[in-house]
Amino acid sequence: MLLTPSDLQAIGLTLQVATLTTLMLLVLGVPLAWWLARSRSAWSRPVGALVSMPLVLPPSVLGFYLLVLMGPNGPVGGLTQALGLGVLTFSFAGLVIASVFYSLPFMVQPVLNAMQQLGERPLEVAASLRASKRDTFFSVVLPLCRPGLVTGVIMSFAHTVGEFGVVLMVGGNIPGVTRVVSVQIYDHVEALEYGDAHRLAAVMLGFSFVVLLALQLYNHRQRKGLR
Amino acid sequence: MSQDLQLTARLERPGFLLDVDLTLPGRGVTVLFGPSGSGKTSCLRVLAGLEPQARGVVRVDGEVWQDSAQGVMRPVHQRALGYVFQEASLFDHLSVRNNLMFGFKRTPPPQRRHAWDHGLELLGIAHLLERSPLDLSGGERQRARATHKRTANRRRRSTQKRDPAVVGTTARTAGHSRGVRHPLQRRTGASG
Repeated sequence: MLLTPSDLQAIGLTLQVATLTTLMLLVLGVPLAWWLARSRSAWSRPVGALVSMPLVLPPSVLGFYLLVLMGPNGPVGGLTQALGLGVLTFSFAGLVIASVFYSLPFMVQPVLNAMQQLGERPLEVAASLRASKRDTFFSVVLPLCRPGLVTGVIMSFAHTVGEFGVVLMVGGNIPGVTRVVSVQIYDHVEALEYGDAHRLAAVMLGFSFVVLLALQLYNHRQRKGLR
Repeated sequence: MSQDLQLTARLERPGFLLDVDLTLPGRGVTVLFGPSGSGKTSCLRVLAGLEPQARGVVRVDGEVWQDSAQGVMRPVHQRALGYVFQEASLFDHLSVRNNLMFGFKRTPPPQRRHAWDHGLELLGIAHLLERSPLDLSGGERQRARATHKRTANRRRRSTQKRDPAVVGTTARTAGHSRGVRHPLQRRTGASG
């Protein structure tokens, strides 16, 4: 194998972070998208803007605030310490939480778009056929939004795999704990190990292309299915 | 008296005001007719509970379904009714069979008024069951849709509703759907 053991460790860690983050985003992001799609509350606009902010903020800014919040002197850090969980910064858990914020719009946006395109009619039909709101959400809304969900899952996963700035700010560079692939590449370059950096970078390049190609093919098939 | 259907409602929309006060028989077939835009659909939507912002009273068979003054608003799915929307409204993610099953399996067995096969036989759509709504013709969709409602059944003392404002359909298709409707009513007693 051309990759070093620490490269493989970084790849394994990256996949763990991305998987957990994507699962958490499914649990949190999908209901959030539904609320944003349906709510008539004045709060939905500011919340919608907040959800999109990781798209435009430099990851270092997002990472900085998360570092301050989760750090030993931050409010979240104070809470986790009081609960006996310790400090989340520079930990695997902290990295996953930061990734959830970082990739939130990549889950919420496609799902929200799909939900907005549904319109009222399927919901009214379901209600007239005796389905409660909760029942309708699971048996009508989610299945009809499947292309949006698939896009959200793939994009969240791939985007989390590619994060760098937030990891450096919140997670640092601890082998096996927070040293993900992007940080490992950075380390190789800093140590002038260009050959190692090349190999790992090529893996990332190939991975990103394959993921995005799969998404393109999926969307193409969906459109063809709907004619 | 208690078996009547009372609909007293006021519903404001931009450029449109629905203001009705109706007492209708709770049995038989009632036809609501009038020119386009006169509010037929809005009346039915209020009755079905699809217009929560409507002010007024909806009372069916002595049960209050909606009373804005008292803050009563029974959700649509708890109202014993069937509603055929103007346009075909099948769920695209389900096969025709599962579309029909949607309402059927949500109706408690004691409230089911006729067997699963019955509606299929009446409308002649048994051969379409495994298809996706996306592969159906317009007419096939309408038939599947009607069966959607038939199989959903209704509670015994319920009100049958069908939106009569079949805007955009020709006299021929309207006549056709009436032809389908009559034997259904006779054989299922759904109109009562």
